[in-house]
Amino acid sequence: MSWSTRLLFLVLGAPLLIGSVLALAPAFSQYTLSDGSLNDSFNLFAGQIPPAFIALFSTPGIATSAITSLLAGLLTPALSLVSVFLFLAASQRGRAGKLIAQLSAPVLAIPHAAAAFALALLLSPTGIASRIIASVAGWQLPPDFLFINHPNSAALVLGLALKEAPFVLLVALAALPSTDAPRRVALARTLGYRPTAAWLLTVAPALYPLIRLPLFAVIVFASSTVDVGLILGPSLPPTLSVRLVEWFVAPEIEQRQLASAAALLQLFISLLALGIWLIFERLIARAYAAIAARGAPRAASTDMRFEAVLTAVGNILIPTSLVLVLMGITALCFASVSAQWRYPAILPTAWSLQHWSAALSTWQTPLFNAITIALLSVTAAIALSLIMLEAQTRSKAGTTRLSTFLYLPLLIPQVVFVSGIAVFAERTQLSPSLLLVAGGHFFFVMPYVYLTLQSGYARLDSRWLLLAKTLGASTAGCFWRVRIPLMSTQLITAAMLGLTISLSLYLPTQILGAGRVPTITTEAIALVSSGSRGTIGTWALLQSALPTLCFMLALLAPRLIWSNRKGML
Amino acid sequence: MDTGLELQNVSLSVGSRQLLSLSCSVAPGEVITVMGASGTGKSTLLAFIAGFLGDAFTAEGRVLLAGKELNAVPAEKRRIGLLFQDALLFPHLSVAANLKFGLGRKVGESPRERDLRVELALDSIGLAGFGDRDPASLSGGQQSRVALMRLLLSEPKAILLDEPFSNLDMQLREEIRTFTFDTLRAANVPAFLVTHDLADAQAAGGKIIAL
Amino acid sequence: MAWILVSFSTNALCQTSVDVNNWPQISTEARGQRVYFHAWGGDTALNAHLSWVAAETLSRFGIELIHVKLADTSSAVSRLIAEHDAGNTERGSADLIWLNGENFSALKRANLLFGPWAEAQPNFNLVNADRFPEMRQDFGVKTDGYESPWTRSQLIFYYDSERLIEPPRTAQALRKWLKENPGEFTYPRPPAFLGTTLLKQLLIELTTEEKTADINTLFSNPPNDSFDAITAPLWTYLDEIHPYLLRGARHFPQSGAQLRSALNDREISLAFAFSPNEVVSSISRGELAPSTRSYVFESGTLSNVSFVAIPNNAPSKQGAMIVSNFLLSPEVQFKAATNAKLASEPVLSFENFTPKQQAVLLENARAPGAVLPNELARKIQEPHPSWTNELEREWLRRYGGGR
Repeated sequence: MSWSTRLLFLVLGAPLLIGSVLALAPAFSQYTLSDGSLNDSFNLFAGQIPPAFIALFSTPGIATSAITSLLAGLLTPALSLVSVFLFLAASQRGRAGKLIAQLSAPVLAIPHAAAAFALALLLSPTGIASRIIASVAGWQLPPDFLFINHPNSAALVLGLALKEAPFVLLVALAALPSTDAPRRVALARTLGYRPTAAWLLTVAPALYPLIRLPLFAVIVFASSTVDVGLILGPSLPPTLSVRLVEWFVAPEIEQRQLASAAALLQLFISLLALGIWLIFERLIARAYAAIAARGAPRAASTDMRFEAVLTAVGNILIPTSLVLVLMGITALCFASVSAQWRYPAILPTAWSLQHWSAALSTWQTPLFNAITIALLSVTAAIALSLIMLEAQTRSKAGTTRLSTFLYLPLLIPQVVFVSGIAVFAERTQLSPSLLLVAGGHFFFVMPYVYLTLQSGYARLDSRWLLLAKTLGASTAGCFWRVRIPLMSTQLITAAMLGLTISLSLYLPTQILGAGRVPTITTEAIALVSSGSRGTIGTWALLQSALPTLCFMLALLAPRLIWSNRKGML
Repeated sequence: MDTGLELQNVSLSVGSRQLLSLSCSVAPGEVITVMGASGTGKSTLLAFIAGFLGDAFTAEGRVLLAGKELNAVPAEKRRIGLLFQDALLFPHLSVAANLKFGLGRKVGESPRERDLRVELALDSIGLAGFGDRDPASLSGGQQSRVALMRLLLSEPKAILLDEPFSNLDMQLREEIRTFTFDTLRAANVPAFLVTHDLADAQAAGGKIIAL
Repeated sequence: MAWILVSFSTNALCQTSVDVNNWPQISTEARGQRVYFHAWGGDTALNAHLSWVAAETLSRFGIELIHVKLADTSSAVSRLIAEHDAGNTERGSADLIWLNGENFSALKRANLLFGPWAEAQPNFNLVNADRFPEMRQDFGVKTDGYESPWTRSQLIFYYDSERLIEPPRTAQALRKWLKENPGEFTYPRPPAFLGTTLLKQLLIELTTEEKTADINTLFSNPPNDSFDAITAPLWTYLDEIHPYLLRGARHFPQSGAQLRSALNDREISLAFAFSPNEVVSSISRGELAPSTRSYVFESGTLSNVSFVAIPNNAPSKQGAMIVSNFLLSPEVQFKAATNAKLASEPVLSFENFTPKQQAVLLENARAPGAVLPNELARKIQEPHPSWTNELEREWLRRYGGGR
């Protein structure tokens, strides 16, 4: 193992380990009763169950919380995967398909919380959808139904899937060329299968293994999200991760220990979700084998209907999600400039810039912090990634199974180890500061940046470097004069990805910064309970503005830089 | 006397299987052609001579350039040029910048003098004034000429050609082939050609070795 | 060994003991300090008011006041406890904290607060603590000078007069009205402060009606073994009304602000808030219709005083005291009281305002949507903070897990 690989393990593994240990350890410690005394009779090594766990499992509704989180963790990736595959099968990269795929990309720039706000604005009983129906049906009062915040977590799954489906789509599109899809489909069609079914039966099994790891990241994220859980998830009881954070920030010691026990449960639930997903993988693989063994379709009519249904659904799902996002953002825009917007008015009845002027009078520090933290963490991530990748290339030691390890920070719920890092910071007297938060952000940004740059390194035609060497360029010369310029698009993509991630992070900023490092995101979420549509709309838009700007820059920059070099685009 | 490029008992193997074994020498201004079907290790041989032999391969024997042994010299110091099937003009650099890439720095030479050398080079291949152009806007034939010029401007002591004409269409191939060998002869460096096309070998006019 | 001695002595040098009675010295030492004020950040009007206060403290006293916006007050408390656990005794992250009862008692019990200092403030006598003992009591717990009053508030109910002619004015009337008008009312989910307040309000009313015990002694002390017996009427009441609440009590709003928003959208027709100024300020912000009216229950509603406290490990104690004293000045109290967007009552007694200020205050009391002063006079004292914790715990046990 080369030194660069060891460095990577250290940089990513150490905080993970320390954070997890410090977060989970209190669960096993001596339990402090409410009057401050220690429970001396508890002894871990005597094989007794720690009191923190007993307390956890006797908390009302804990099983429901856990199951809700588990369901969200399974249904979100399932919904995303199904809609993406059906879309790809139905559109088969035709012109409309390409257009939709391009339109999906900007959705990635919108932070999860903003998307959740947008959905709530659309589908709550006083939301836009309800108002539109009211204008047709003549309602004066809003209906009393529960969808957003319903205990069945349907709204939570939908809100998460709106953001995760485009992510899975873009990952799938990146991997699609290596599956040789057109030829596979053509082959299946000559054997009598219809196009959509052919794609699903021949390309999907080849494509799935290539997008497995990102899907695992989605599973863990969906089962442990805090900000989206707060906005769209149920409250009686809340999801496990939301409860965890409530306990962690509570003043009583026993709540902290309860939080640690809950963190272990959260870890278990996320891993359980992964495990169940793996079982489903096997089952579906077997189903595929059975279908393949059944041979080419005979009954033309049922087959045609099946095909029609598949194609129709495939063509509807992703575009609908994009429409929802667009409508939601529009609703946020209207909300941010509304002075009065009582039900059942579809448009605000009074307009005002008060929300914007209020926001813009207080946004300087959060904006400065957000940008500085993002730039610091991304620059560090890119620099470190380049150092390690370059070292690997030069040493010819080859890359070990790094990609799996890199996904590790994405497979452990954020909420579990960030709290541990905070405890670590407290113990070592590290005062909450911009640098500490930037360090925390670096940790989350690094995997994505490294993976993007790694694929750039792999895809670079090795002949360029050979050529440069034969023309006498030194090793450093090869790096700066050849590799960097030729990888400029990947560098810009990696930077954009990192900046977007850093700008949307909430939990690390809040916990590591102890509230003293406000960013646009923390300000926006602090206003969730404000109940003011205008304030929430304004801050949700502010929160989305920065990443969207980065995204557009990332698209435009290569075109601008290489405007007179067609070969680079 | 400059003995040119010499291969002494060179043997390449992958694992336990021997790919090829040969000894030969090329004098300055001459071209030696190595021919064989795909998979016989022609490209590997070139990689070995240039100093890029992959880890999967083992090599024995010596490579000598103007009498000096090259085995321990790193690739960028060997002064051996490589011409590929594709012109591989750096897409992020202008035509002139591409040509300047390998240009060695002469003592006391000013930037203006370097520009002049590049201009002269462009002139000699009939592309005067093309310096600021985007390489992607050049035709296939033009790109091949610039690639060769770029190679020569780096003043190599030997040149390796890896099937450099196979991506060109029939008409262009003849033209570029003649241009390349004429230029190489004028440059008076030893050249090592690898190809599966007999016409290339005949145009090269030197010894032919079959693998 | 020598290293330990050196660090001890430098510690002693660093920790200049603060003489709370030497106000001129405190003013001098405070100049140039930076004071971190940890307070809830969910109210943009309050944030703006504090920005104004910060500008004033900078120009008048040379103190840089920084409002650290919290999503929840208890996070400041847990941070303080964590700092204490980590041995941080000098460089705390907070210099001044906005506290209420349960949080104050937790910190005072753990000896994490600096003091006593409050009564040494020059402006303290303006609150007339002898006539208004609640200035020295936080949820029944004596402040002992560890906290300084800042604002006061009272539970008020409000309703949309276009949809509701005569609102319920007692707990019994509320229950009856709910059964006839389902889905028109709800409350924030405990442990949100406002939600727990409703629980306390209902409990006190129901207990008083049933005359189960001497109310004052009952609620001035922490709950004991008879908690279940005493609170039984409350849970029966809630079990009865829950099916008639908005969303059938399967989901509760998170805050009073969301409750207000629900009223504005006509989802409910009755709501409540812990600030007498709520309706007036909301109407002026366009967040409530001008037809909204507020009132107090017949037998009175809970009222308390909000305090600010200084942690023991605050680095800028002098600055914190100057800021607190400034918050008590007639100028700041008046500005807050007349800020239509703010929702608070001044803690200064009326006679300590100038005649001009008094006239303005009286005028404001007549604004549409304002609570009548005679209704506001019906105040009920807050019970001991432990009641809050116990009620929250029991509510969560019964309803927190969903159905």
